[in-house]
Amino acid sequence: MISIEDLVGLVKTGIPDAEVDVMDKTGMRDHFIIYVTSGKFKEMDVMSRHRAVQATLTSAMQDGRIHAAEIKTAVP
Amino acid sequence: MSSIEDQINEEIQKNKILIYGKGTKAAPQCGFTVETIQFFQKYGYPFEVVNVLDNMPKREALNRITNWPTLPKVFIDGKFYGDTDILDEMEAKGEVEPLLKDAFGDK
Repeated sequence: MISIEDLVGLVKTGIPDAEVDVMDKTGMRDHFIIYVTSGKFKEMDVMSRHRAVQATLTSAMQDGRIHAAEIKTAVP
Repeated sequence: MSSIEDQINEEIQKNKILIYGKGTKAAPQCGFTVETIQFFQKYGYPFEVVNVLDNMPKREALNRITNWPTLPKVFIDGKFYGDTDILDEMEAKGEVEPLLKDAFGDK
């Protein structure tokens, strides 16, 4: 389990200019849809964007705070 | 290279579209694997599903090879493309169709 604030904080630590919206899919705070919008994504292909977001979540994925995260990326 | 990595390399070379997932094409056991199967069924190109649900050594090898923590894992023409999170966004940008046409040599 992880709070939405902590989850947003994790993403922003890695992608400071990111605008992050999180939907808790099951209400159990471990299955999320994470919407990340960042200007930095402009010159990144879809795979690189997702890797960048994944990288910010590694610790929370490994210790089980996050069970499943669907990532959606966009440019402003 | 260990035999598992050899096996994986052989599989991704042999199948132009390959999904490593939980369960089989006929009996998928994970919602994301189902989504990925449905994604490719739309395009009508042949694809294969390799069930790695209970094969931890292979899953760990795949994690190492792709530096990607989750399943399903999709390979197209031997290249890694993550899962439907990525494929949906690539599709929205019109990048999937040409990729598949290229892989299957449709001009």
